[in-house]
Amino acid sequence: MKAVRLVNVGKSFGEKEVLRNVGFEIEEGEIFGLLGPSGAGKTTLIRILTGQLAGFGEAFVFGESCDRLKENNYREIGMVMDNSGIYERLDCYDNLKLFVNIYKIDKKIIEEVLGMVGLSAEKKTPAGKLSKGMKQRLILARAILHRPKLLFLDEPTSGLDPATTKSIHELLLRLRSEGTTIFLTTHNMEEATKLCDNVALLHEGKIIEYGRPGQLCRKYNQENKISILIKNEQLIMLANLPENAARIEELFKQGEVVSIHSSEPDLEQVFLTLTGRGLEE
Amino acid sequence: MKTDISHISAVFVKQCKDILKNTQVLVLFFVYPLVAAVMTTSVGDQLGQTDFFISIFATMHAVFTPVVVTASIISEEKEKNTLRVLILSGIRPVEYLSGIGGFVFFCTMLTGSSYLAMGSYDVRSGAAFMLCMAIGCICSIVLGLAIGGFANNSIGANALAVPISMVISFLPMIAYFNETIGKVSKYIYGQQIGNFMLSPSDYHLTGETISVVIINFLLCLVAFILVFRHNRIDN
Repeated sequence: MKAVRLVNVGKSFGEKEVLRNVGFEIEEGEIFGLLGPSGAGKTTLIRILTGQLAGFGEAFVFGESCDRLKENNYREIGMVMDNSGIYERLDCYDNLKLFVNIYKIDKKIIEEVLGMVGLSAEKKTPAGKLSKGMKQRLILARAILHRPKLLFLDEPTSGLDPATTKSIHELLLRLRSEGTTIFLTTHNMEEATKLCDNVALLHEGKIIEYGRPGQLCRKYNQENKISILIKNEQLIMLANLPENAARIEELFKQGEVVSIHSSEPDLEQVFLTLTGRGLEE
Repeated sequence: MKTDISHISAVFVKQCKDILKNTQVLVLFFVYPLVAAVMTTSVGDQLGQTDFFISIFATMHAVFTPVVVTASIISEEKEKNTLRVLILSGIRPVEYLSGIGGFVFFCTMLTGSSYLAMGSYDVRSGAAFMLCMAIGCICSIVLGLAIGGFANNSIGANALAVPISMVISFLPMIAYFNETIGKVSKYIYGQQIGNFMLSPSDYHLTGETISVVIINFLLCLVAFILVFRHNRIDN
């Protein structure tokens, strides 16, 4: 069974069409990245998938239609949304204890999850006194508390420092290795490249490209060149053709090569090529 | 799908922990009993008006406090998106509202029981006093749910809840000194509750008292249902 399946999903707010004919599938246990600039429709799509918003077309989570999700379906889902609230007067432990009581799971999991997100020392700190990164980690801890099969993350590392971002990335990779399916929205192409098995590029409500990050970058490698930096700081650009193999071999034999790169674009450049605008805009 | 008692108790326990750290709301449960205690011990005996002060402040306690606290809790949860998180974790609206309503009822009755120590009630009149407080509290909680569901944020909720609950809870006090106001306020459940609390041992329930309270409760319930349908808390 697919973790997520979308067929011709659309959504309009009044006259404004936010999503158009969106369709893709996510396998169980994969990290899927939905990339797009602000306002592309990423959060709207998550809200449709989590049953918070009704759209056109067909959207399924583990085979269940998203407009008919029930309590048992929500037990299989964890969410980190940009508007996920926390109880600021309650400490981290009590914030999680509430959901342990709701899900009827063993409260020992609280300590474990706080450890996973690096908040063990802040267990008794009121959530309102945590830094932005710590709050985000607390929200993530709450989302994974009940061991969901599918995790929706809406820009989980937006505005966070590199250390917090790294620890969240490590946690997400660990969750994937344990079989959790992760649906991630981001406009950070590095994050998408590093984490995602598949990505979809969303522009003005429409999926304009879909595939593995590496494949997409190679597909849009229009220059198809090899750049070689040699010891005298000279950058040599060679077409990626068989006739240049001897030249490259010679540079290596001479010990001249400082660095060598292929010219495929990153996801940011792919998006730019396709839309004429960047992901961060 | 059945209502899950453990969900209601989870919300109730959460609210108990939260209120202990929210002194601005917590103080509302103690302010009227404290003022009543001060008034009855300092001037009540001299004026021979002990029961009068108790009935006035107990009415405010049963009417004003639940409206403001309930509206404040619900509007804050909406504003800070914690309500959305609860609903998406499988809590049904009826479970959430029961947990919050139950919490406000419990706190109001617990702190309201202090009035029994201030007056001279036997078991029967004390039970009647508390029953009367419970009825007023339930009406007010439903009204608070409607206001909290209607308001977009806690400032908006307070802007509505405070004047409305003041009218309902203060009019009975003013009516003791102004007959004209009394002619209007007798149609408000706060007045009927206040009248009963003034002499719970020998108050004769009339059709007017019962019908005013029932109609007021139904009006609060209709307001709540309309708000809930128009501005669903799970949407």
